[in-house]
Amino acid sequence: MRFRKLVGAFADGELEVHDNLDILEHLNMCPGCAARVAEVEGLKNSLRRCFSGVKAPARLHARVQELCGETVAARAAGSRFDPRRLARRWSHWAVPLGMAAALGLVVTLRSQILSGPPEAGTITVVTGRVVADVRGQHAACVHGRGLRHHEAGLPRRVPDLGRILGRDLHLAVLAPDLSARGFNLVGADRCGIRGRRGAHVLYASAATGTMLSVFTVDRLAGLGPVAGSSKEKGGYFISDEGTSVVAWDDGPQTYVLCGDFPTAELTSLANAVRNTAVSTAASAGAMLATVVGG
Amino acid sequence: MSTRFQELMLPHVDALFRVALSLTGSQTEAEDLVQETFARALAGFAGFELRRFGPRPWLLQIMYNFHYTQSRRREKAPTLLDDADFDHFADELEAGEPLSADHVDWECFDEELKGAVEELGREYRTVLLLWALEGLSYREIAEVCQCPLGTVMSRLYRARKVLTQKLRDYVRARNLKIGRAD
Repeated sequence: MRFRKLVGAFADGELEVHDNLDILEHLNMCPGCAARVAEVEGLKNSLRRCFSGVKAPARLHARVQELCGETVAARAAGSRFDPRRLARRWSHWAVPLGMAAALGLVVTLRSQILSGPPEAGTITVVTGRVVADVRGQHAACVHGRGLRHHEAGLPRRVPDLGRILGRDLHLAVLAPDLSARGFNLVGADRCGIRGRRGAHVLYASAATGTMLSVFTVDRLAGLGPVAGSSKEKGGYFISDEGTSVVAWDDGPQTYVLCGDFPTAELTSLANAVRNTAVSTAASAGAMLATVVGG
Repeated sequence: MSTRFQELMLPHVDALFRVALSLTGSQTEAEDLVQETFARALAGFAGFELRRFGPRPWLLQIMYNFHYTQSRRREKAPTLLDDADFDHFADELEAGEPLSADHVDWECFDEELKGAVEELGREYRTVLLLWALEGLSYREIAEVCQCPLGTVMSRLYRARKVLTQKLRDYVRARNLKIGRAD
């Protein structure tokens, strides 16, 4: 009964690490519960397939963008402008806008948003709780679905994968080709970390089969500088034990690598991945932190 | 301020529109609701804390609050469903045969699924879509909908139960085969 209550939360990535491990062990012995996890995932994927194609009309994008511009202009002129009054005025208009102009506006906005430079010189330490969450999500996917970790309908080629996930999630998704580094693509799914939207691309070492996770998530909460921490060394956070985690911010997203690899190898992979062209021009986001496995 | 607001918030127009459509049931009302939401977000942006809140849950919370305030004013208050807290609801979790993703082609359910979702009560549909489409955590859904965490879990699990039961009925009616995952 306890596990029946936990299965749904496990499928949703809502469990604490120790409950995650308990249920993973249970799933290995209980095909019924494993099937329920698959049922929840199947339902989620189907809902996405049915409804994620719903997009706001171009005129709405244009109206919102114009609302932002009007507000800034009015405030710059020193007026106590309330954007809500403008919004209500527009609600009664049928504002015809050329599709080409609206489309151009959306494309321009996307390129501005995705190619904006990150904050220079930012070094942030990944807190212990976030590290546990990253490790928990990595373990849940690796031990839960393992080599079947792939969302139906997503392509199996790396460049297309990043592009399609990035388009759907409005993130610059990292999905590099690591074949030259000895890693084969296993698959990808929309697994964020602790409920934050994101993409999870899973690789396996050709030599050992060890799994490597590459997460792209919108900004992880809980990150902050820890100046003067006894565990900070040259801008890196050193942990005594556990699966290695490397993370960095780049614009509105955070990239996270996680896997049971020696420090030097994961850091080298992170540097190689950061130099990989993403869906935008590669940016020189400062490395956040390296958490070293024991 | 404008650049930062646009950078953080404008990517979520589509997501807000999807949720607005599920709340209002009307494209025109959904567009107005989204626009009003952004206007309010602009007005209150100085108080937004990125580390506490992601942009999308914050926007959705503004939209949800405004929509229900307007609904109450128009005396169209949403039907309050019988939300058992999660511990009691968990006792209802069934032990029936699950639909196994390994044995069923989920794509053949798409039309049935759309119809079943549209038949759900608005509160259930909203929680379900916030979970499935927007990828919000239980806590984020609770903050958007301004309800307890247990209520989110019970609404979500009940919505999923209703949908999977309808799909099971569909499978039985068409004599499709399902089986346990290995």
